[in-house]
Formats: sequence, structure tokens, C-alpha cells
Amino acid sequence: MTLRIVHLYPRELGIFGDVGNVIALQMRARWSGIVASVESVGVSDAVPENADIYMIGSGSTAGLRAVAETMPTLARSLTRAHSAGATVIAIGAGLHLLGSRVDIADGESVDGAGLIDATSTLRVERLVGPLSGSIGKQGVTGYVNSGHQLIGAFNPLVERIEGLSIESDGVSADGILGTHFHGPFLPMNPTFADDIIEKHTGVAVDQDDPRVSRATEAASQSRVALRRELGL
Amino acid sequence: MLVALAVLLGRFVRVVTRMRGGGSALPGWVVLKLVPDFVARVMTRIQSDHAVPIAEVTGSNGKSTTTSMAVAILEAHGKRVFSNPSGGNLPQGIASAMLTDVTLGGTLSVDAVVLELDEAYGVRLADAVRPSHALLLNIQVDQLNRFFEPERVVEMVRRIAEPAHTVIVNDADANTRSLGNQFAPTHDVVGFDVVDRVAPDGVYGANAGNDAAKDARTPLVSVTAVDGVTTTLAYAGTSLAVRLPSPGIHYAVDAAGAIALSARLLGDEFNSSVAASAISDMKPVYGRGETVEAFGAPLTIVMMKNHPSLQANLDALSETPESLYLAVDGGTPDPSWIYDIDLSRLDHVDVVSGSKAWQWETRLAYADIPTGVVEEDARTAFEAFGTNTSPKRQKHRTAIVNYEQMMDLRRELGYMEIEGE
Repeated sequence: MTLRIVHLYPRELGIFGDVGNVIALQMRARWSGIVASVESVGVSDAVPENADIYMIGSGSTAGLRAVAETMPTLARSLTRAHSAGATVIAIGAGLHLLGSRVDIADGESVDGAGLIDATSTLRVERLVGPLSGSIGKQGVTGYVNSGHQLIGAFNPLVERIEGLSIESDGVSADGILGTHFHGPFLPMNPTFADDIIEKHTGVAVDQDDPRVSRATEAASQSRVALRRELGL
Repeated sequence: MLVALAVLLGRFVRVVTRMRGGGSALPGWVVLKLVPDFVARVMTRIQSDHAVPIAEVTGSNGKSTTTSMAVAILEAHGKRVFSNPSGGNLPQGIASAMLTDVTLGGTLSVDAVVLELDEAYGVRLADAVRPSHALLLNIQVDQLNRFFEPERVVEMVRRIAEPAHTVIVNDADANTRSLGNQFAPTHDVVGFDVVDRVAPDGVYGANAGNDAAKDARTPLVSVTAVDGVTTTLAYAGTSLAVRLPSPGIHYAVDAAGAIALSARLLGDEFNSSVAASAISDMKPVYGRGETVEAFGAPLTIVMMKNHPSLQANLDALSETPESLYLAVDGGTPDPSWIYDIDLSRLDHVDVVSGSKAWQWETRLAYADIPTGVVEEDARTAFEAFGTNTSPKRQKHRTAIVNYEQMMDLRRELGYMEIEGE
């Protein structure tokens, strides 16, 4: 069984360790006997359309500007891949770029890939800090550092948030998992990595493998520590 | 009168805090409460009395080390220098440092001033400091919970340097190189650089959209070779062999910057071999590659400050640590960047500690690096480290710790000097 992961624009988008999402998927799949490959795609590269998972990370304004030109190309390839069943994981600026428009300071804005019905506008006050919330019945934790908010018709991914001034975060759509959670998101909340791996390979991640259980337990303890830090 | 009172009160507070083993910022804080423009007053007097150069050192990484190097070089040339020792880069830290030598009238008798400035506070201090020279080291991904984006730091550093007439920039860093280009029409811009064959592959610089900027400067100082703590620098057609206080290319770049700055400050008086010896005689700056004694054997402290600095320190390890202690607490609020770190220099960690211990353990699990003990309580954890690694496995014993854990560790081991003293 194989799992093909594409990491989009790691040089420009990825200042918060978002590569951790790719690492978690790759290692948990490998530890479960799946042949997992990762392909890094740069701004001047063609985007492969036959991968299982696409990960696009967070970045600064400069990173956003640097990848903005490639959006029409990305939109074509990613829309095809997504329609064919691929999962798209988008963090921070990567999530904003999946919408139709991202506002930058001074009235400037860049066009997004348009995969989700949303625009990103500047927050009056930047959102920075640790937080805790839920996806369904599963508790999740992370750290947010964002100057943008996403506005549009979509279902949020994380709800019942405690620790910061927001009530919900991110986007949950068919095959799209978008959030501002770093930590990064999948290493800190590995059950979602396992769901994605199983969805694409039909293989359940081997929870009895000592390497898998070590990472799962460490993440669970990390969430406990973070909730304690938040006084929860 | 008020200045005299502030100085006396500040000195009194300092005696008390020293007796209690407390921090170094409080005396300065007291002084600034009484005389908010204390730093500006002292600086103005320094400048008006005689033409004393005032240099500021800023950037993401290397401020403390580079400032110490520049001070050592100037002192080796017989100059009296006022500086804010490592870590005292906030206004209260500078005011604290002034208390030692300032007269009750607010006069400091010195030949030069070299100040390390925090990127954010430096913007507010630049007017008070009235710098003649600014040394810009680098702009890397650092403390994003505080700075948000590298682009903002580029702008802060630009504003810190603006009032100076001479700007010394690291041309190996895309961001400071670009700032040098911006300043070139209005300022005297001096570059220092790393030759291509020695330069790291770019993982250390922050992407702030400045990658394409080239410079037309001939560097005053270049790093031409680095091997552990030994580096070779090219200066004015001569080759200088320098022993660095700690191993790694980042320390060699700091040395190049300190020499470029000192050469400009001293002019005709500058002697490059005196400068090379001054750096070679230095001890490591406080917790930055410093070796302390713990459980009867040497322990090297590596500070985990941010992605580029930890990566540079790991890349500079001469051997895989035979025993390794790793401790990070809330002083690093968001250690997400540990997923960007190449950990291939490590083959195990004996003890992981601090309130972020489990986040590190998660990262280590994905790197398949075995861990001995995970214990959030640092005191218990460090004792376990001593028990588990003594008397065997004492070669290349290393502690990777964030700033707060470094301070705690040194205190625990009986290294009582307070940072900023």
C-alpha cells in the first residue's frame, strides 16, 4: 500500500514548523507498513495531480506574496486533485490562499485558489497564544499566531475554543481540513492524521506499534500540559 | 539633583538585589521610574563632552557574543568602553549597567559605547542612544509570538540603524544585506561577509522577501574558513586566525562583525592582530556554548533560542553528545519550530524536561530518537540526568536549554553571577 504526500511551497510557507504535519503523516503511515512518499513542490514547479494528500503551510506576508503568482496554476491542479478525492490540509496563510481573496496591509490583496468560499481579512488585533478546543468529541490543542480572519460560508473545523477570544477556527469541508493551529496540528492531534491515512490507504494505523504509541502518548501528554498552562 | 538621587537609589537597590541573588534589571527600573530619560541624559552628556562614538549592535542572533567581542577588541586597544553586558538589552538593563560607573551628575567617562539592543525596544531606544554606528547582524526567524513576522523585524532594525551615520551590515544575510543597500545612498555602509564555499545553505535566514538583493560592496571582513572553534578571517589583504569562544559558523560571523565595527570605531589606531588575540582570549558568553561543571564532569550548555540558532549550534557539534539533557519551558511559548530542526546530529536524549517536555518528546518520537526520561519538573529531571549519566558516558555531555532553563541550571550548579552584571 502506498501514500503519496505533496508538501506545497515549504520554503515560502512553513515558518511555524508546519512540516510537522507532513512528518506525522509520513511516519505514522510508514510505521503501519505503508510506503509513504513526500514530494516538496516549489513555486516554479508543476503541481502533481495524482497525490493522496496536499499540505500547504503558514507563512508571513512575504511568503504569501511569493506564492500568490502561482495561484492560478495551483487552483487548476488542486481542484482536479481534490475532485478526484485528495485531502488538502491547509494551515494559516495556506488556508487563506484556498479562499478567493487574501487582504494584506494598506488595501492590497492577493487572489487565492478559490477552493473554499471564503475571503481573509486583517484582524484589528493579532491573535496569538495557546488554545484548546474540540473537533467533534475529540479535544484538540495548539498555538495560534495569526493576523487574519476567514469570512465566508463554511463549517468551522475546531469548535468550543478556550484560551483565546475566538469561538471556532478553520474550515471543515469534504476533503479539506484547514486551521490556524500550530503545534503543529497533526503531531499534536494525531487521531486526525490516522483518519486521513486510513481514508486513503484502507489501512488502519497500527496503534500497537511502539513507535506509533510513543508519539500518540507524547501528544496526549502535550495536550494535557497545554491545557494546564491555560488553567483548564 | 534628581539624577543623583536616582543613581544613589539605584545603587542601593542593586546591593539589595545582589544579596538576594535576584535579577539585574530592577535597579535600572527604579532609576527609570525616577528619571524616565536617564539613558538619553547620560548619552547626550557623553556626546557633548567629547566626540565619543556610540555603537549599537542588533539583529536576531549573536548580539551578546558580538557585543562582548567588540568590547574586548576596544579594551585590548586601551579604550575605556561602556557596554550593557549580555542580556541587558532592554532600557532597564542599560540603565542598570550605567550605575556602576556613572557619576552622581550623570557623567560616564568613556572612550566608546557599545550597546546591544533588542530589536523591538531598540526602536524606542535609538533616539535616546544617539548612535553613531549601527551593526546589523542578521534577521532570522525568531520569537514570532512576539514579533509576528520577520518583515516587521526588518523594519524595526532599519529604524534602529537610521540615526547612525555608519551602518555595518552582514552581507551573508539577505535581510541585512538589503538594508545595507537601502542605506547606501544616505549612510556610510560597511559590509562583512562569508565566502561562498563556507556559507551555510540558507536555512538560517528568514524569508522576508529580500532573497534577490545583491550588494556591490567589497566586504571589510570575510569569513574564509571555519573548523570548530578555529576560523580564518580576511581583513585588508591579511589573513587572521581567530579562536572562537564556541564552535560554529555563526560565531565566526559574529567575530567578522565585531572586527568590522571595531576597525571603523578605532580608525588608524585599529590593529588587526590585537583584535584577533582579543577575541581568541575570550571565554564563551554566559550560557552560549559555555562549559560548566556538573556531577563531577564538564557539561556544555547550548542555548535553544530559535530555529536558526539551535540549528547552527547542532551543526557545530563536533561529536554526537554521549549524554544529553534537554529542557524547555514556557519561556519558549510556541516551540512549533522544532519540527523544522534537523536532529540528525543526535542519537538519543537522556532526559527531557520543562513544561514543554512532552512537545519535545513528540518531536523526538517522530525523529525516532530514543529518550531515557521525560520529567516536566526540572530539578527532579536534572538529578535523574546526573544519576543516569555518571560516572559513565561523560564525553561531550551537553545540555540544550532555553534561556529561562539556562538561568535556572546555572543557579542550580552554583554559578551565581547574574546576567547583565
